[in-house]
Amino acid sequence: MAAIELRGLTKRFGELTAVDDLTLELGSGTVTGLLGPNGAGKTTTLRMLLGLVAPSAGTATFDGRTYAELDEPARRVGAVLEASSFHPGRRAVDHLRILASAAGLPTRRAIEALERVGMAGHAHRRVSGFSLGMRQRLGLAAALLGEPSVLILDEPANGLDPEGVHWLRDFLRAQADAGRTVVVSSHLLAEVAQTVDHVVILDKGRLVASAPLVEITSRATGAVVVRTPDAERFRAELTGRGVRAALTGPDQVCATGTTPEVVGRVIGALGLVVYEMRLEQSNLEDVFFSLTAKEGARS
Amino acid sequence: MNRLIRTELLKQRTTRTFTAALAAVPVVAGLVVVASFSAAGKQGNEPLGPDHLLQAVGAPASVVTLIALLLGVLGTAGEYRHQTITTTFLGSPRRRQVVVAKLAVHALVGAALGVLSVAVSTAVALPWLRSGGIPVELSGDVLRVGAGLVLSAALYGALGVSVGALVRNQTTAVAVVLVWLLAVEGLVGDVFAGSGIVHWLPAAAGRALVHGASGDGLSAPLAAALFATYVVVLAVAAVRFTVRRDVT
Repeated sequence: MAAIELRGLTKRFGELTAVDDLTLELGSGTVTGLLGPNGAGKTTTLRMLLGLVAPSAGTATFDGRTYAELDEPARRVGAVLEASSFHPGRRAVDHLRILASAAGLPTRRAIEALERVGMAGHAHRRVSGFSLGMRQRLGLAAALLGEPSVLILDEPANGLDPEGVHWLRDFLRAQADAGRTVVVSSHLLAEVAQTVDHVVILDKGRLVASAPLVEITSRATGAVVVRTPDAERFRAELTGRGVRAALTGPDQVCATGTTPEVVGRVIGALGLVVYEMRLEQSNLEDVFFSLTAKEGARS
Repeated sequence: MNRLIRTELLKQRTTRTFTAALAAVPVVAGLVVVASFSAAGKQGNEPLGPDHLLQAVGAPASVVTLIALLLGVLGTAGEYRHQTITTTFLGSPRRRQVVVAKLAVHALVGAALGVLSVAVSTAVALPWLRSGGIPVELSGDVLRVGAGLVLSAALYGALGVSVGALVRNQTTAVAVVLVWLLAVEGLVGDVFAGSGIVHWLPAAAGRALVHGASGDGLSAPLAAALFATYVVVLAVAAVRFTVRRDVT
């Protein structure tokens, strides 16, 4: 059964349609990457799901109920939407005590949640002295207070240093292993590629793709790069044989949608001098970019 | 609802602003007595007399109500400023209840500050006057002014919550209340001098509620009813606005 369901979800801000007729189901126990360039509608989608922004049309539900209809929302869904949503003068543990109090949870959960994110040693420090990485962890501790089965994180890796990103990755993996349904948004696919099972790509408020990660990665195709002093003639010959090729440097040709065998035979036929020939596996980011760019060109 | 009220109280208790406000009120109330009593009988001031107790209890009203008002403004606008409003509404998606809890807690905080002020004023002024051989007692007038101050501070606390919820930007909200109190009502009084309209404005009603009628002003009970009406109207607007608006 789908843990999260979006049906025709739409949000218009005046003339701008931030989210456009989004229909989507996210399975229970999966880790989903909600991806798209900045302004794709990721944050607005998550905020509608969490009842902070009212949809212009459509519904967003958890097991059939909107966020506001959940009995004890903090025990069902944990969310981190901003890099810092703390009163700077408050101590870390007090921030969590307030949220525990609002959710009707015992106050000891505050310390337990800090321990879970490795922040127990900073419990009595004021948030104003915290680094971005520490704030991010405190936000995650807040989301974990109610032991929710669903975790929603909006751009959790933004502004983190490599160590922080690494920690976040392990954290997400641990949450997934604990059986939680996780939705994590990002504008960088590589950031979440090691963690997610399922990928949802948005662009300009519309759904571009929703598929298992393996399916998305299989769309990645290779390119053959050849360095030769006769680059322009080589490019023309390749194009003449129906191979897509472009000059990517004064002595460099890049052929796509083909194989090294095909390119090698052309080189042999021409008796071309070659300095270098290599196969470049395009990465996920290229797939991501091609999907969103294609969508952009169509509109 | 109890849970939300407890939570809002906890929010207040865990900020230094609140601690500072709690410390400032007795200091102000005490200093007001010391300053006015020390100056009595000197340089043409009236010598100490039985009326000085009434003055001492009523004098800190403007400062105490301002503190209650600002705490209320920070209680809501501060949540928008620090984006804690997001976690607040995630924890309690029924926003109407959140605003009602804030109104209740800030009325309570205002009332507590009022009680503290009246208690300190009395505790300093009463022995001082008696040691000077002046016969004073807690007359009906003193109790009325004291009760007026407590009620006024409670209403101001709730008023601050509503202004903060409606304006949302903390700096603007603080500026709005300060400009209103320091300039707008005075200007209206100057422009419409003699019309009596100035007595019907909120801050004037808040003052009359404490100090009673001055000149052709409103009586304390009428002022209390008027000021409470302002507070309720703004509170209803704040609830409706908060429930409707997106939190982006």
